[in-house]
Amino acid sequence: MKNLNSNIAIKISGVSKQYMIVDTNKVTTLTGLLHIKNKKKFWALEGISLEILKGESLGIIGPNGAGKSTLLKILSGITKPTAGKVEIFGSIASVLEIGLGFHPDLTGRENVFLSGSLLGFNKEHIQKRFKHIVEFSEIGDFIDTPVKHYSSGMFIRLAFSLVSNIDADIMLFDEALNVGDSAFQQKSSKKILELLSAKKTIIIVSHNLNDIMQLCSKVVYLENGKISSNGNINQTISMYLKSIETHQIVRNSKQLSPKDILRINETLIPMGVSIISIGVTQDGKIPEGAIELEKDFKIDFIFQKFNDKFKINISVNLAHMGFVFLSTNSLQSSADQVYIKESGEYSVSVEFPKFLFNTNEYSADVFISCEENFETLHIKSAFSFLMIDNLKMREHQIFSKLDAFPGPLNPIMAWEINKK
Amino acid sequence: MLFLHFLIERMKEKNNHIIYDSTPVSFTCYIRNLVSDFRIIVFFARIELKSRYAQTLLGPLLSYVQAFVSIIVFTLFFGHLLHITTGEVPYIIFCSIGLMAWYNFSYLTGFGGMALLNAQHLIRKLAFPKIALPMSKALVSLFELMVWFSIIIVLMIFYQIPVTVNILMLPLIVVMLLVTGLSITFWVSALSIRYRDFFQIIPYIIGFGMFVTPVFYPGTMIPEEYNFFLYFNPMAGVLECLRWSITNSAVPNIRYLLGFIPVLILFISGIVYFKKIEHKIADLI
Repeated sequence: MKNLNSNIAIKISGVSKQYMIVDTNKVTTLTGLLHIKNKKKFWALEGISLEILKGESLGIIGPNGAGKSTLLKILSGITKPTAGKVEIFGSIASVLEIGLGFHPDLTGRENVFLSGSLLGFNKEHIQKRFKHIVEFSEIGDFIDTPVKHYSSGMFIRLAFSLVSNIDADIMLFDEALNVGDSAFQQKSSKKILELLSAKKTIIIVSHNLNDIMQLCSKVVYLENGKISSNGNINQTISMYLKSIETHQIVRNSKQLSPKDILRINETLIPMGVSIISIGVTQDGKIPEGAIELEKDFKIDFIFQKFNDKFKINISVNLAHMGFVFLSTNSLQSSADQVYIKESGEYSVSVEFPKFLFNTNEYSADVFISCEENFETLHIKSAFSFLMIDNLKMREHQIFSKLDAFPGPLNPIMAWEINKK
Repeated sequence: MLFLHFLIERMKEKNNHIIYDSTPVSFTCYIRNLVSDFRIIVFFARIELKSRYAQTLLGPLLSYVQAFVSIIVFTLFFGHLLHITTGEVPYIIFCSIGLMAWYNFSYLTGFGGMALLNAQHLIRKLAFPKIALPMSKALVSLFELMVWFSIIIVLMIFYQIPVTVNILMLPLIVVMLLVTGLSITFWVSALSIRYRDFFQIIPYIIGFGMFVTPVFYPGTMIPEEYNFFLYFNPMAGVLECLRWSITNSAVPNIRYLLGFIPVLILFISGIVYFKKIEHKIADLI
């Protein structure tokens, strides 16, 4: 009990979980009982140690099968760790599935009370918050209709507003936020922020990195049952992205390789176009490492056009860290509204201004499209590049503790001081 | 009741520091948690009852209709066509008591045996004592029992059968009845997680059991030399006790307790087994 007054909400020390993989075809029959060696051991979690402080919001990310759900199951007491120990200080509500225990034949009202009691909250507790729950869910008069007649959106809204309105010190959410339409998603994100400002401890497992970045103060990246990275949000997320990137054409390289270009050209044949090279250049040459923040840089396209029939348009979409969409820029939407029609060899480049981006990772999708037959080639993450700040001129004392400014953009803005 | 509430509140306060590790919890701790989580048993029972009568015309009356139809059919068939005689007690009451207990037993074992399998989804997503699922079926069956019992009361008033002091033992006998059902239910529901053969046996136990148990015939109809086997049938003992308590029939033979020994062993070992696999169920199911 000595830790009760301390600041820790959850303490995970050396938690491991082992599962047996059993070949069910062999074992569940009587003859199979004799072959006990069919069992294979498999570690879903290995030596996880974490401390989550009160009022902190932790995001857990990782590919499928990394052990995220197993960890949540251990935290909520559904299954026991094979080794190690979890200590929880305070009341806990775990929402591994939204609408758990809802019965389709019962009305919304009945389900709210029953599901609430399943989560460990008695009738009075729910009664006090019932008005809030119904209001938040926007269900209105449908509260007395059996939930099987609800639309899936209504069902999810009611279920979410139930779990977000109950009162527990620690709340676990497993993929619970990506529900409902975008308006409700924003509302639920807001609700989570509200819970956070009320000093609740929240753990979120999500594949939606936007949510994680928006809501979490700390991110843990799980991979193969181990903690791969733990700490700085930007670093952890970019590490995660690097591991899951499954580019259509480019795989983790910064520039397109000749092989990629060959493949691209195959799909470009109907448009009558053949790419010679695409590349990022700075100071007229291909940068070896990162791109410097203090200089302009270009994306160059060199290609051959064989016929005069089609109008070709090129556009570039930029994304921050691979998932936050930043901008779209195309040849056609440029000031002169040009496009390419005549045959011949072309060199087209698009220039990106200096001091626009932040020191972070960016990626570009390239689209080559044909106006007449609506054909489009989409090169996903054709480039990814890292921006660095060689001059360190943008560093500021306030931020000296951070290794990077947050956010995708960091343009120079004009400030003015007028003393009166 | 108030004391129980107080006890539960006390336990909730203690729960503010939870530890999960690989060491098994003690048996007393398991029972204590089960008591403090009693509301979850009530929850499962309520959701079952509520969902059963949702979108029905008759609601709870449906249970009355079902009970009534069975009583009529059995009385007509065995009482009037086969002329099974039951002494002072009218056949219809004799048979109702038998059917009441047998339906309770068959409901409990039949639905309870599948309780864990039917709640697979919940087990994977929520932490709760799994034994609550078969136990909640006992609670539902108790509701059903009350429906039957109210019919029997009406019949007894109609036939002017006097109630004796024996009726005071009725609660204890009902507990015996539930324990008998639960002893099988615990094991069947737990074992069918891994081997689905087990709950498929239940319909046979119920089907054949009805004939080897004095449900619709008096035990005295069985020849003296085979009476011995009846003592090993726990349901036979429960039925004799029920009839003794409600209609003041002959005092049951003490040897019926013999059948109750395996029931108690199964009941207690069932709880111990549930405790043992409590945290493995979510991984196994």
